[in-house]
Amino acid sequence: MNVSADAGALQVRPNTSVSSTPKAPPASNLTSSSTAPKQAGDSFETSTKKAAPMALDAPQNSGGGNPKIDPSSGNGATYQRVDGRPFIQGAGDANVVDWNDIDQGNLADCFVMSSLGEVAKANPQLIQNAIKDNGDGTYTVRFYEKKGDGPFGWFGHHYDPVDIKVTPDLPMNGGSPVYAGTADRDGAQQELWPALMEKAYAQWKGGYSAIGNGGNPGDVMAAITGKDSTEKSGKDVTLEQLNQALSGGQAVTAGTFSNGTGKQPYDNGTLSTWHVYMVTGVDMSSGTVTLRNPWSPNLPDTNLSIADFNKYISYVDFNPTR
Amino acid sequence: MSSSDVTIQEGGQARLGGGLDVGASNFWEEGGQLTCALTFTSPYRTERVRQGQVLEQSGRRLEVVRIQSAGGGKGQVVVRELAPQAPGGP
Repeated sequence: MNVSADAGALQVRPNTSVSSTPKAPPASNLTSSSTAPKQAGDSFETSTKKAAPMALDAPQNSGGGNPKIDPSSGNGATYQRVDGRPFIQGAGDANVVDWNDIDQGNLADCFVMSSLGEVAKANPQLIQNAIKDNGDGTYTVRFYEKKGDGPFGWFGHHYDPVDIKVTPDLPMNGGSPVYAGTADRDGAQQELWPALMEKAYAQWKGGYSAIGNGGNPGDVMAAITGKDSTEKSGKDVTLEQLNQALSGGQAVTAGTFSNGTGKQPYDNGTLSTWHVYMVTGVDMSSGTVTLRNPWSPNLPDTNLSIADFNKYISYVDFNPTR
Repeated sequence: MSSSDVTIQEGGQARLGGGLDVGASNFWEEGGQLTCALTFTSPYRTERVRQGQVLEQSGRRLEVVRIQSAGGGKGQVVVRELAPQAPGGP
């Protein structure tokens, strides 16, 4: 957008509370991270296979309370209890956790919602393992926090689990959630996982406002999986790389430019500026990339030729998920 | 601001009830005026709008009350649902 003269700051708005890793820089400065985590999600995945979804030694958020609603996007929302459960397999869902469940609301947290959708697509079990029903009306959501090893992280880094306790009370207005939607239904029961994970992430980071001004999807995917993300400039990504990443079980997001004036896909509404999309498919024969807007699974997907992808996508984040 | 006004954040999507969801994006100036794109999910439609414009979608009428900067470089658009238009002319 052109509201501010500082267009460069709009690409991914800095939000130091969201992550300890640097925000996505302008495309020209993009680099790849390559340092492997020491343990990351491996240990968590291993532990869940032993029927222990949550390690008890992880730091616990003791509140179970409600993160502050962002006043500029809440439209007067108040917290209300939502009747539901974390996972409901809806029509068209390949799994009980499905990327079709992503339905972003009025918070500018596309970087969170697209990350959730991509991890759900690449490794749905990981999302299922991340939410524990405490049996007392609360849920504990597990994220991973990147920690440097040694002074200034000279000796690499690892990921420590962080458990955030939340209730199924959601910011509501007129009977609908104002932020992440409740996806599928089973009678009166609504599917809660996207809203619970968004709420837990907001609670961890200091409130909905703290995640409502954009951010880096690579950081969010790393927080979900406990594995390093890699970021590339959109202009440098090839169809083969995308195809290999998706077929190899990686989560992949695509971020757009902040200024779309005079650029056809932005002018005609095919792409939204300052937005993070899920990369959902590659057609090698036609040379196209399919993007999904996290706003709704009911919106038509966007197909871009790889040439247009290189031209109109600013940055791409990859996370191995496994 | 009327109590029925709904503020939609740039990059966000508001649920106006009755299945009417609308997202806001692509804020930039045209003709010296800040404009943005509104995207309706069902049925799908995206349209660049200006302040004061009235849109009809699924039999409902929305007025674009204001398009503004929300600070930090982010845009937002305020919309208001109008009463259905009375049938017939004046």
